Amino acid sequence: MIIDWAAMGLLVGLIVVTVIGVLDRFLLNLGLTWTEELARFLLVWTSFIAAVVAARHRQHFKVELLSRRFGRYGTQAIALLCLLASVTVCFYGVRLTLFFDSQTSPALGVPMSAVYASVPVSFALISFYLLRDLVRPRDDAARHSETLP
Amino acid sequence: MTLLFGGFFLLLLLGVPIAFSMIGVGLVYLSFEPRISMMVAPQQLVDSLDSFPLLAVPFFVLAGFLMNAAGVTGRLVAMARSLIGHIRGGLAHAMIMAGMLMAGVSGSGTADAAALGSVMIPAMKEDRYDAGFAVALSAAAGAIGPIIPPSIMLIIYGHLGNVSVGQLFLAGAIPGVLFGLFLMAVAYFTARAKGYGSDTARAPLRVMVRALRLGLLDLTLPVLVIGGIVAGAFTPTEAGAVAVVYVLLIGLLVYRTLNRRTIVFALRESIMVLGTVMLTIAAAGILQFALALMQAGALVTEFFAVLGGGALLFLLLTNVLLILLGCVLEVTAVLVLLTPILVPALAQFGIDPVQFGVIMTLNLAIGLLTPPVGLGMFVTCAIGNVSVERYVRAAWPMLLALLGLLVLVNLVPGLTLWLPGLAFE
Repeated sequence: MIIDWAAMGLLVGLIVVTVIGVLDRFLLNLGLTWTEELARFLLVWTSFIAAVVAARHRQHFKVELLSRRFGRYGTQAIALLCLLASVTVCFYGVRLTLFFDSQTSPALGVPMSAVYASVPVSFALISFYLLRDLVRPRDDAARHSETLP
Repeated sequence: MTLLFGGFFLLLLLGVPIAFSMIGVGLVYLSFEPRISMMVAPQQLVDSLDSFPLLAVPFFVLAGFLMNAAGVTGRLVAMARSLIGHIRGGLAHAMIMAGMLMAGVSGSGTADAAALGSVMIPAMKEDRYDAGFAVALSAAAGAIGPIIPPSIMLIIYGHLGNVSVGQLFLAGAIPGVLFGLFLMAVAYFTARAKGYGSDTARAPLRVMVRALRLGLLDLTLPVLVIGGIVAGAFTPTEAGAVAVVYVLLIGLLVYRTLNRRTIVFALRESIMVLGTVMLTIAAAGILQFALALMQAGALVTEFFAVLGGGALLFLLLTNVLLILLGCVLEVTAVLVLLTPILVPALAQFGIDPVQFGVIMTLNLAIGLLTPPVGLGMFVTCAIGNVSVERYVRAAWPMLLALLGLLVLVNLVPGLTLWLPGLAFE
């Protein structure tokens, strides 16, 4: 899936940028100012896109003591609640992004909306996967211990 | 505040993912607060991740997965076996020692436990160890990961509580080593009482030297990471990036155990972990904003002041709370919930936030090992194909020893504060 590869690509970019920063401080001495800022912005994007990947694979941490007994409608109700929250965040995320249109970051000079856009983009995608869970709920109790934190 | 927490725990109990529970109650609170724009919600999500110290989290997560993919676990175990394998319960001691060494590179306990378990549980079963014991010990040896630096839990604590991550890392070193020694003591007595393991002769010097030489490059990494931070050469974040590059280099060029497939696998696993952990941290930003508006930190501080009783009562209450929450909630969630409200209360009792960070981490590491939701437990039980009941029967002496260590770390500030004092004064 494209989104999985995008997340991995962002993570690789994050490492490359930070390593450039370290190399600059110890060897090159160019006094690069943009590496730290770019790394932080990439962290924001990586995190949210990774959160989309986790939503796609239904991996977000939850307590399953009760919900395992709820059955199909319970799972759907939970997905609906999450969907509502996710869509709300996405909506205000769009407004926030537009709001920061004219402000630019200190070192890179990119518009801050490029950073804040990570929220509406990722939460729109998360909403999509929650909608999938709502329409096609699946019993995921069997795979709850599959990944590691 | 009660409503906020009540709503949060209700959603959580119903099975709503932790991050969405926090976002949900945060949104409801903001919509009832006319002074504040709803745009604060997405802004808090971004701002709580926009931090240089937090960058260390993805690096140490990835370094851990790469390390396991590069076969570091096997080499460290072989080395530890040649050094201390002749002691009664040799395989158990070797696993604990390897766990301590791995903890010096990776920041996550569960990944370490899985790596150790898959190498060691079959070997221990063959050597007449009880399967439950082997499983419990691999979970416990992995749980050293978050105590010995680098540690993802300590990075998150430092980020949320405004505490120096470098100092926290150093503070974890001595309790981390004690963690390992306590486990070794339990393993020694259990192995003797129950006759686990075969008698093994001391490895000849030639074998030791060979194993050491093979593992030398793996051993260099924890020294590089911790030494670099202590010497002030790099920040914990930079140390994380260096660790990733180092593991890649030795895995690709020296041992040739990494290839495109294993690297992509490590990246994929890291993304899954990051997606869940980072969204929890981001979502906690909204909740913290709401709590700050309600001046929750001041309320908690006041509560403890009214309660009286001083530092000991405070520590007792917070430890019990941490153990209980650590048993039912995911580790990151407990950290993001409690750090911002407990750290401000420390000053009035004269407790150092650095010491308290290690106390919290130790509590949560124990939480990884206890039912009903201990992740370290689940992962190793799955690997060893052992029921939770059987796990608990073997794990309780270890848990008891770790509780003893927890009491020590609470009562003796020197265990945590001596090393950072040396390096940073």
